[in-house]
Amino acid sequence: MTLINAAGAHARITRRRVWLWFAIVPLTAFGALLAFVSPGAPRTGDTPDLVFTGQIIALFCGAAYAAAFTDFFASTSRRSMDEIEASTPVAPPVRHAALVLGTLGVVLVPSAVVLVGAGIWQTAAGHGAAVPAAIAVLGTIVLPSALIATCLSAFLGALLPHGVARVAAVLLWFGAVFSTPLIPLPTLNGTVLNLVGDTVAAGLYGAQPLYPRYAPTGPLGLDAATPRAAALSLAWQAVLIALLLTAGSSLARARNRS
Amino acid sequence: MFISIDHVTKDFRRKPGALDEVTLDLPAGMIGLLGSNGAGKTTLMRIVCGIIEPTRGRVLVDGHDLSDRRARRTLKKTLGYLPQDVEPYPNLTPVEFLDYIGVLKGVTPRAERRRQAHELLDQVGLADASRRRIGGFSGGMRRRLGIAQAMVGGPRLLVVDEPTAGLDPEERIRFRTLLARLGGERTVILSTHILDDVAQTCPYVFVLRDGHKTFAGPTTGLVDEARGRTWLTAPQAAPPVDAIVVNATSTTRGTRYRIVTRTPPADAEPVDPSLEDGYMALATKETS
Ligand SMILES: Nc1ncnc2c1ncn2[C@@H]1O[C@H](COP(=O)(O)OP(=O)(O)OP(=O)(O)O)[C@@H](O)[C@H]1O
Ligand SMILES: [Mg+2]
Repeated sequence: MTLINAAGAHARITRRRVWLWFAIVPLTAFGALLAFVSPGAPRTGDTPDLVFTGQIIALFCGAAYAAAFTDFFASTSRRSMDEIEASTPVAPPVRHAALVLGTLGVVLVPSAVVLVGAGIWQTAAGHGAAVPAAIAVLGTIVLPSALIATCLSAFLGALLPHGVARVAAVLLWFGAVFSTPLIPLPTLNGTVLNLVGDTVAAGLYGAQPLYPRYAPTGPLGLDAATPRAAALSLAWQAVLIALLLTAGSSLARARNRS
Repeated sequence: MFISIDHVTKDFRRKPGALDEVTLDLPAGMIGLLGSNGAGKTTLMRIVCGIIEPTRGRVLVDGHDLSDRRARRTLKKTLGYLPQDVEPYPNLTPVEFLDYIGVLKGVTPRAERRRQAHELLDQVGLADASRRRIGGFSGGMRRRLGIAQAMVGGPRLLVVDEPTAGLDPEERIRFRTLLARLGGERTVILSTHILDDVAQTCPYVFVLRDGHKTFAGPTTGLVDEARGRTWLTAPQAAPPVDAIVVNATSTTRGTRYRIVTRTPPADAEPVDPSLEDGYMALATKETS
């Protein structure tokens, strides 16, 4: 309950940050446009199109979140607020989780509008369950990748000076996204991080992955196109989010204490 | 609530000995914390609030060591802290901000948080601004909101770091009265550079200097440091070199000095010491 209420307050704070809208709205629109005109788009008129749009938006907005949220846990500008919050009984990871959730709940609104809008469009064109599909894509592809980008940004911000952290976070984001098919590292399911949900796209929605298929080189030898692989990928992303969140949170605390 | 500070030392990387072996027992009621810039007041308050940990030594709250996480949590449930520089989230209104603090302090339900928010805003004289964004507030208004924030949830321990700095005299006196009213069975730690605030409200006072405790006791005891040594004098030339000049007033008949010294000039007349005299006597006792 505390988490939800505190997240609500952060959502309100974020909603009123005008500059954030100026960054997120054009980026989301750009991603949507790119997905629409891309020669790589599936153009099936149903779920795979939604998945593709969701992935492209996640890719671009992820970079924005990576750049924007380095000051989440180690804010020098809000030091006194940090202290006030630290003098309350709420544990730091809960406070930080509220910050991440509240902020993302707001910055994901443009992505949600695009996807649900596309879902409505598809419904009008005769594809029945397109709106629920759009919401599912939002929850399983766009949200996890946004969480990873944000927590990565916050973690690096707690580790490095903000300016350096910003650049590092964006580079790392694009590096992780684009190097995935190029460097077939042996990982859980054959890709580095699955940041923009290729495994989930293939396993849950039967969509073509953004990247050409690579042989599943993970230690579990997963076939990338099964629901099981998708579920594992989601679980792995959840672990990654939790790790980045707790590591960033305790790093920031340690820094404040020294 | 009984707080005991036991041989607390804090070394910062760039400032070893920010606090050095400070031992204090805090009585209930209003406690003044005095000390020059950089003496370690804020550091001590942050340690008492469980925001930072001491390098050595411990803080006991009702017998529980604050290095234990559970003890910290228990303390924080009944703690109000006002940091030295408050910068509340600028795009919230005061009511929304206090509501958020109430959420963190575990005040439920929402209606109760709102009720407290309005009551506190009324007490600190911000009722008229309750719908405005904090970003447009003056420094003094932000400070008053900071004070309100510290009182959300009716804390038993109130730690306020220079709460009256930057307030106009009217507001300062109002706040002082408010704090004194809050005193009672609460423990209030008030750090300040305004000796008058301590003289008016705090029966008990601590003085820190360069990380060391130099005085702990009743406020009257600090005044007594200058008893029998405080004088008014209007010398023809400069005041005696070994005297501490607490005050100087220009009059048509030359400058009158208020001095603290053991060896007064012949023309000096003794006066009752004030807290200022006592503080100055103590401060120079250290250095000489
Ligand atoms: N986080 C920190 N890192 C390094 N040094 C610090 C830190 N916090 C405080 N210090 C140093 O510790 C000493 C005590 O600082 P503190 O803020 O406690 O003083 P203060 O009595 O509150 O002073 P003021 O009256 O100016 O507020 C100072 O020399 C300060 O520079
Ligand atoms: Mg201070």
